[in-house]
Amino acid sequence: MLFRVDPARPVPLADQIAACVRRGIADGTVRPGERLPPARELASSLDVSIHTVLAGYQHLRDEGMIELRRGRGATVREGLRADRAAVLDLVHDLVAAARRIDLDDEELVELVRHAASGP
Amino acid sequence: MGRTTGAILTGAPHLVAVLPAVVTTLVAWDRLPAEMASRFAADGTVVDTMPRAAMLVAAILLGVVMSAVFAAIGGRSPAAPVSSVDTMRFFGLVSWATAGILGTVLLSAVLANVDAPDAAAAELPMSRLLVALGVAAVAGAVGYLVTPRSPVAPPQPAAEAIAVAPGELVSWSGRVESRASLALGAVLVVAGLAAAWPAGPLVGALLVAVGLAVLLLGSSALVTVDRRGLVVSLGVLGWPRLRIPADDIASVTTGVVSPAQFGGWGYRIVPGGSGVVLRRGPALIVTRRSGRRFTVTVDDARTAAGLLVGLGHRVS
Repeated sequence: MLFRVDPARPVPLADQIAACVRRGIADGTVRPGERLPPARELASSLDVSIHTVLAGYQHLRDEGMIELRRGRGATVREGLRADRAAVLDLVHDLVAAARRIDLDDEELVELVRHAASGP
Repeated sequence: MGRTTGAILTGAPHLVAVLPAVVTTLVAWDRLPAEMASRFAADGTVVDTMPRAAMLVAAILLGVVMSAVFAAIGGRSPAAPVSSVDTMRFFGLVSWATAGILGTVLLSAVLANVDAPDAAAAELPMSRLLVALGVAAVAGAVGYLVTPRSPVAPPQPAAEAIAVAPGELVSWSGRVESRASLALGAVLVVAGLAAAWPAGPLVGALLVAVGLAVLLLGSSALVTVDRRGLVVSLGVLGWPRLRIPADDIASVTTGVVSPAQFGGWGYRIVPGGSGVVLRRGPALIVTRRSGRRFTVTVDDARTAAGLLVGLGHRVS
């Protein structure tokens, strides 16, 4: 899978790494059960700190996208649906768009809740 | 050259090669001892014997089996060129040369038995091996000349560069796994454990060691493309690694390749190129500044190729 990140962008590198995986799952290039590159390898390949990669992988684990196991490394969760990854990708885009216009986090959550409770 | 022509050109020589020995055996049947000398020591004396009929069947079987193996490899469909040398013509040379050795050795062995009162009286001087090598050299040259140039698959559209912005950090990686190697390694390990009892611990340990090596090194590879170039890490341990630095890459393409082009699976070296070939299918093919090609079979090779091209543009 392809990782491309840019330190010049305002988004933290770990988030950019997580976004690459999310998009890969969403567009089908990364399949459930597939192993992500080992954190150490990816860090030296991208020329970033291993902590940055691990932080990115932990975001993905917290979202239920991947599993992190000692020795096995990071694997995309079996049974994960591509459209779930696509929705999560949209959520992150939404948050980023809201932050760009200085929308309060509380206010954003309220807007989403309102939209979800609507018809 | 079609598949059939290719198969005949590389397979037929072995059938033809055993003919003189087979015909001589049949014609001189009554002049041959019932037990024929079949193996000879370096000094030309007889080591082992075989019944006349068994010798005849063995010669025919050798011809048929060798012919089938070479025909299977020779009759392949068009594929992307993986070497600056035409590996197909080289294979024609190898096929004809082995046929030359096979035919000469078999015929010499039969001739040594003609008019011998019994097997022990037969003699095969070592100098016949030199004759066989001479025949092999001539046959090899003929094989090279009669093999037409390889069928070349229509060139793939050139790898489209993936634009890489200045300052952007990129890394592409793909994993390729070989079920054939997994199965072979597992079979070898089990066979080694099973053989340790009847065949002795040394044979068992050797088989287990080879099986483990196949499992650890040959069953998978991680292919990485980044600012440094191309890296292929072999096996589950990710070691050893093959590296092609970015500034050693002259051009990049993709294509469908088959293990037959490399004479088998795994890390292969052929004249004019090398490769990590774990399956038949799409591959990334990199031409180095020296003109040598390096091939690695991996899914989504087009993205890998595009990134290598894009990185090259950014550097220059």
